[in-house]
Amino acid sequence: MAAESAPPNGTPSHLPSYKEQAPEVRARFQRIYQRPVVLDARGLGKTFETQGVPVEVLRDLNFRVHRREFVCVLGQSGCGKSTLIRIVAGLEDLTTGAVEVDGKPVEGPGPDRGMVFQSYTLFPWLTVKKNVMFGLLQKGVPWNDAESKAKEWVDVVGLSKFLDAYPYQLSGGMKQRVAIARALANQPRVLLMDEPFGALDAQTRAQMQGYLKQIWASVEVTIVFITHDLDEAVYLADRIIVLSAHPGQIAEIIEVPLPQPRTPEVIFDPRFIATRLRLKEWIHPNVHQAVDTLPIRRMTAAGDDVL
Amino acid sequence: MSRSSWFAIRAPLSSHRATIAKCAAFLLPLATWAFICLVWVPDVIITDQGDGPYKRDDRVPRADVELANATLGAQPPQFRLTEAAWQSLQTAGLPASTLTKLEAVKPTRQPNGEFQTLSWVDQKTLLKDVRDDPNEKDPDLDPYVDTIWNHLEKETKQPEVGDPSTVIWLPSPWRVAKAFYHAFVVPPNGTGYKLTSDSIDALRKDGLPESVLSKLKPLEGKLFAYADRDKFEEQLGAALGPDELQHHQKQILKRAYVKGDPWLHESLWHSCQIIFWGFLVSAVVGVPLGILCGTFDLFSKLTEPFIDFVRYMPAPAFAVLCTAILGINDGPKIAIIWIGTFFQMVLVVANTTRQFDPALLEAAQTLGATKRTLLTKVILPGILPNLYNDMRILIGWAWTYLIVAELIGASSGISYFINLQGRYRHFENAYAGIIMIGIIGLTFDQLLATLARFLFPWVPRSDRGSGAWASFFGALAYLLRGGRKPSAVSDPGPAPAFATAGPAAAAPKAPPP
Repeated sequence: MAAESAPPNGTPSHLPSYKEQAPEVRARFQRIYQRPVVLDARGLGKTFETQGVPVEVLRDLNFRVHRREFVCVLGQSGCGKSTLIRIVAGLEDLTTGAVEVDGKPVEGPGPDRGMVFQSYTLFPWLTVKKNVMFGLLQKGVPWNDAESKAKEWVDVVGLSKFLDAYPYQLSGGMKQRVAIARALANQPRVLLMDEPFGALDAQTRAQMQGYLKQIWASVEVTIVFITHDLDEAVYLADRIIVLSAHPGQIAEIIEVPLPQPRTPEVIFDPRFIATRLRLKEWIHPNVHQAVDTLPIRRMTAAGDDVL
Repeated sequence: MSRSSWFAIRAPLSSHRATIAKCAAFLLPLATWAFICLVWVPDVIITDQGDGPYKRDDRVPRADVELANATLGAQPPQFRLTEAAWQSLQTAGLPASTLTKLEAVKPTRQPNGEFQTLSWVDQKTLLKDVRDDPNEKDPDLDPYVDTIWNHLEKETKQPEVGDPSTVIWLPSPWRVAKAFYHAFVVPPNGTGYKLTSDSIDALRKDGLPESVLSKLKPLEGKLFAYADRDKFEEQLGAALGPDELQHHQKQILKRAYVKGDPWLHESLWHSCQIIFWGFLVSAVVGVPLGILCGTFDLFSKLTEPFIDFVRYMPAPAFAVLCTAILGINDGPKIAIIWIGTFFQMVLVVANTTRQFDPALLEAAQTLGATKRTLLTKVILPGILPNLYNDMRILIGWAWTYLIVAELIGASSGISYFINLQGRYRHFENAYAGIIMIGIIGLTFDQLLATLARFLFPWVPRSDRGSGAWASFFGALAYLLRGGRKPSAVSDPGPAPAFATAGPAAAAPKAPPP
């Protein structure tokens, strides 16, 4: 375990510690912890049986998510982030421990835990409007009410011109926006997002992050967001749960020392950089050592240097 | 020519070239067939019998015709003694003794003034009657035999003449086209008019008076082909009086009509009905069962092993069983189609259902879908386009079982038609029937494909091009242009050696095609 208080090797000395919080940030976190607990995981563990060999994927996870918090789960590939969120969604069973939403244990999937997947899971045979209406109609909302609510949510994500378009006619970012609207239309307690912007290009991803923050600001929803992108985590989240791999355990829960709302220029903020460096320690350790040199002999003409 | 190649690896052809290639897919085999039938013509269809053994319209191998003609030519010549020949013999300068002997066979004048001439005879027969002793030399006749023959009328044997033709089992495309036309226009064998005791009973029930019926009795039993309808009406007119004829003619014609072999379109319609019912019975049980098997592992494990086992039993093996159970009419045929398609259908539909993206199921669950909703509102609409394509393919399989099915029990339908025409040695009709099946199958499948575009608007289509006719005429225009792109401005001519940028750049103002 890396030392918690000493700054990482090679950190420029002008950066503050990621643990230093401005008073308003500290007060904000106090307010957050006062709010009711929406998601409670205690001793959560998951072991898979693959071909008779048990593989422990998650071990002893303990964390709490409060109302209207934005929590990121960060970790390397294969650390069990997706398994964790699928357990919370009810798509997988846990082997040890307990997870509760609003005090009730999770039995199976349901509309109170909406989910947005990385692969676009819009129903291809339904238009955008009907996709968003799906959950509402399931609940038993009459058609006209469902339709008007769906139109509202499609407005929220800014796609009112595409109400009658089919998913194959939409771009990746638009599909994810519809997926978010579809999940939010059910007014879930928790919105679980499994690397939703992973398949998008950098430009669209930045746009979508902005949209997500706007939605989070205006809608009564708690967000648990999985990512492997360090910048995304620090930009979006209130708190970051860092998972280490094999088996997945909580390495640290970091409170991001930046105030909300954040603009894209926050990436230049020293506190941003400090937090990011801390995350990098967990996720890509030893990277700040010298890069190994390859045994290549010189093959270019003398004087034709690029470095 | 454009830089793109006809043989670019893994790249699609331009739409015009693609249309040209698609048309060539049908035109090339047709052209090959026509070419073979123009070049390979080993048979002869006799147009003029001449004096040979083969009758007009017979199709005979060329070698046999040549042999027959050679045989005709090799026969000894035959001669005839006509009045004109006798007169010229008188003045031929033969000795009197010879002429005296020939008096015995000279043509004699008949009572009605005409001369009786001998029929064609050969040498031996002609002089047999006038020789003293047939076995010995006759000094009066032998030296003059040649003179006598030269004065007689000599028979010339006419050889067999005919048109070259292909073999009987490979009719040329134009004959098949004619057969196509005839199949829909000319009434088949056995169709016509015939008065039987049954038809007379029916006429009696219709209310025709006995006086009329008794007059019809002598005409009973004679079949008039459809083409000989006038002759039948003549006979009727001869048997009945004009009033009675006018009154009852329509009725008599109606009852006397005899249906012969089935028409091509009747056979086809019968076949289509059998396929339809067989496939429907398959699908009504097969599709729901397949979907259940693909969704619930319990159904899959309960039914699929057994279905997998039965699937390998060939449908024709059940022919005898089906006939015993279901009789000899359409029942066993539909049953064979069912056996051939049902078991495959369940497995194919189950497979399609299993390929449904499970992520969509999870998404639906997180939106609050119950198990029932998952099946009815998520899986069912989701697999519909693939299910449709599976059904298209399975209908094709059902057609291939058709031939087998139709030979069971009482033969009927299109395979009966094809076999019958083969038995009559009218292979053009057989080809017409087979090609008809292909045309119907392809057209139906293309119709289904077009229908899919309206039924499933959410499926992205790879070609969003123009319709079939537009692409056909576009491709034709492309061919006539020689593959060049059209330009609104005519070619400005060869540029001078030091062309300035001005006029050459100003010329092609046309918008890009």
